[in-house]
Amino acid sequence: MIRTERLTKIYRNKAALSDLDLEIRPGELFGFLGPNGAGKSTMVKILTGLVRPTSGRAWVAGFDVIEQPLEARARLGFVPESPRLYESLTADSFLDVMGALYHLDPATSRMRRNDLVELFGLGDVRHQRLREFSKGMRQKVVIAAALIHRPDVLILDEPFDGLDANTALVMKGLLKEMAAQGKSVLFSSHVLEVVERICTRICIIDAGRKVAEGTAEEIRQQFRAGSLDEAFSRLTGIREPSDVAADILAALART
Amino acid sequence: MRRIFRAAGIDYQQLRALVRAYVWLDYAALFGAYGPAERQRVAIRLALAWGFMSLLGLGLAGMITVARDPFLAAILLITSTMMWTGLIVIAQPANLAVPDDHDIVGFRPVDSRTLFAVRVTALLMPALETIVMMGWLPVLAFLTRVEGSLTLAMAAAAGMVTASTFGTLGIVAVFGWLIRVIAPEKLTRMLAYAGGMAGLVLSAGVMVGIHHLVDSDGPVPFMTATVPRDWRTMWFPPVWFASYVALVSGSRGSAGLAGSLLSFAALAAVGFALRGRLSADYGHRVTELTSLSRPHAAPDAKTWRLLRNETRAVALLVASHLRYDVRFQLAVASSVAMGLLFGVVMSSSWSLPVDPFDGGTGGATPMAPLFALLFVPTQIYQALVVSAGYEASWLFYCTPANRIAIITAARDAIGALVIAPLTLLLAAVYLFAFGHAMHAVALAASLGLMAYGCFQLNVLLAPRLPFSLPMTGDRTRGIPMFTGIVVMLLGSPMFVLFQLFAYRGPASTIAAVAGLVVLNLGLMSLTQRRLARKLAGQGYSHL
Repeated sequence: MIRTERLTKIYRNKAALSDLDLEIRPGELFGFLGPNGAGKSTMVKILTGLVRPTSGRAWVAGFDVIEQPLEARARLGFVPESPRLYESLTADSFLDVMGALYHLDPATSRMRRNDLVELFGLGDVRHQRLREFSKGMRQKVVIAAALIHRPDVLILDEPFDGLDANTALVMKGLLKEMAAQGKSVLFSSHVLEVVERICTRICIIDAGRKVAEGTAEEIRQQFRAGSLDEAFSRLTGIREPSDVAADILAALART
Repeated sequence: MRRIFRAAGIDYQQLRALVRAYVWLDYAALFGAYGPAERQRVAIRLALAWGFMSLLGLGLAGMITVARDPFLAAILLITSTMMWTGLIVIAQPANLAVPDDHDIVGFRPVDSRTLFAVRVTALLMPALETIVMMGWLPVLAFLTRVEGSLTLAMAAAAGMVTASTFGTLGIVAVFGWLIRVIAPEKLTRMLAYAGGMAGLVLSAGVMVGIHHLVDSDGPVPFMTATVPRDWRTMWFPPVWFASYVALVSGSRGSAGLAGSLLSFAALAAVGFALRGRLSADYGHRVTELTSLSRPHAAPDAKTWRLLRNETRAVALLVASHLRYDVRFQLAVASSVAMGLLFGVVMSSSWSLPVDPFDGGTGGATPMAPLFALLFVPTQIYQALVVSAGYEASWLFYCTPANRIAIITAARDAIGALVIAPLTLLLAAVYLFAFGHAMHAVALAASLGLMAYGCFQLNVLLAPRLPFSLPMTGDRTRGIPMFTGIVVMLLGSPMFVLFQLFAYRGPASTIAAVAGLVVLNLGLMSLTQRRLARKLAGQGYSHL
């Protein structure tokens, strides 16, 4: 499970997160939404140990991310939004490094790596450097790296970015199955249709604060919107999207 | 200005923008862009660099002050200038062959010559920066010495700048030519060889040149010696740039004018060489190099089977980078080549080493191999902590990996893969030279332990996660060379103490080696404790 209690992060006098309380229970596939700069990435970075919160607490799989960081990270699988990789490594080497960092036995690591590489369709390119990989292939490697240690909690930031349609379908099924097995999945994305379709519960944040939480249906009803898109726009949009688009075109036409 | 650049085929606007970005990357930390802690760190490092180079300059200034002949004093200054420039440029061939900003700039509409000009500027700037640090005291000495004047000082400064520019452009021309003609697959090796050769030419040239011109070894003859002002000295390039001093000091002879003309001709020649196909093909060749696809082979799964966890991860990372990362390969190859070169050249003699246990004098001193043992690991450590993919170090923060173990594993990897083999090589050389196995082993072991102790000190003072720092910025600008020399200066007195007290008999040698073992263990423990304090609560910093 994932839980946060009054989680706050302040960057140079600006609050990226303010008193955020969340709970993602085992078996939940939790959609985490918000406009750009809302604080989603900050939240994810705190949960994964990349940054420390200014105040408040957070737990991953029952372990405090500040007090027991290694225990928390050992149970966490993470797919970042813009995953940076060591470009000189091959897919195999990268997954071997990951296995070692998660303290897997080399034989187990090798076995899982082989299976994941084959199942993600990377068998033919496993000995190529990651530099030569396409965006989708890199994303598959990152997802495989997030799964190799069989985590109890998954945090995925735009995991379908760059994936082909078939792999995206496989991933959606996989996430549902993993949730069904009792794992907690935090799914952050800008693609509202996907979130609406696969997530069991959704939270929308804006300016570091929670503005809505519930199932997609509950949020739609609460804000009397026809779709999740519409509810999202009402909750977080400053202006009508069509007006902004018209203004951009007008700005480009100026000489 | 724009017209001049346009005539040279360089887009001035793009050059200015890219150089500005480069300068900003270098100095952003100093202006507080990455927070006060980073600013303080960079400021301290800069102050140390200034202090060290000024100290070298102070020595030169002293000699300039006491030398009777200003021309000889200028030759000495320019020779040092060219040597330092050369060493700084040679130390970073990757900056030219596989520039780290190619992924950002390579696909944009920037002409090959403009790209080349940016890279040359990027190499020239640190060289000139170092020369300013080293040269301000010697230039002042030309102002204050007997018969000194502002004109003399300005001529010396002009000589330093032009010599440094010529040195940089000359080496760039050699590297650029290699990049143009050598197949990408072989380039790494060839650039390392070229760097080694250039270093040998520089170091040997300095010694041979100064000795030949002055024809004396002691300080007193140097004070009274003079250099003839005619064509006989013109074979030695530093003389050309020192000729500005001869020209303005009003001494008779053809050296002043001839040398000055030769210096301008040399600059024009190297400029002409760079203006040609070398720079026109550069962009294309760099694209080839950076997208080089090597034949792939499955790594041997059993290679690291004995290693576990963080040690295994670091071993895999290092091995993969050594196998596939041209930049890392270049840095390692250059470091080893330069270290071995210094080891040989600094021994000041081509004779075999003499057994210190027999109280022998003459022959090659073990100080030079010790220098190589100190220099190479420090340089490789610098190469190990930087990476074009430094942002991938998020892995160390999101996994249950122990970051202390990762840093110490990187340290131990260098100990095992660099210091240990070099120590074994030394033991073999000493065995051949002394004909006494125990003496060879004891001397090599003590040097190896001293080197490892100094290297541990370096890691203790500047602990870094492997492949976690960006390559751009001041980290690549002569600092690795500087760090290596500081470590050498710290380590060298240890050998003098050993020579005085340890190599007298078996008991004192065993006690001294045991002392070194204890020292190393103590440093290991200190490193663990310092890392635990330093890393506690430290987050990923490349956000």
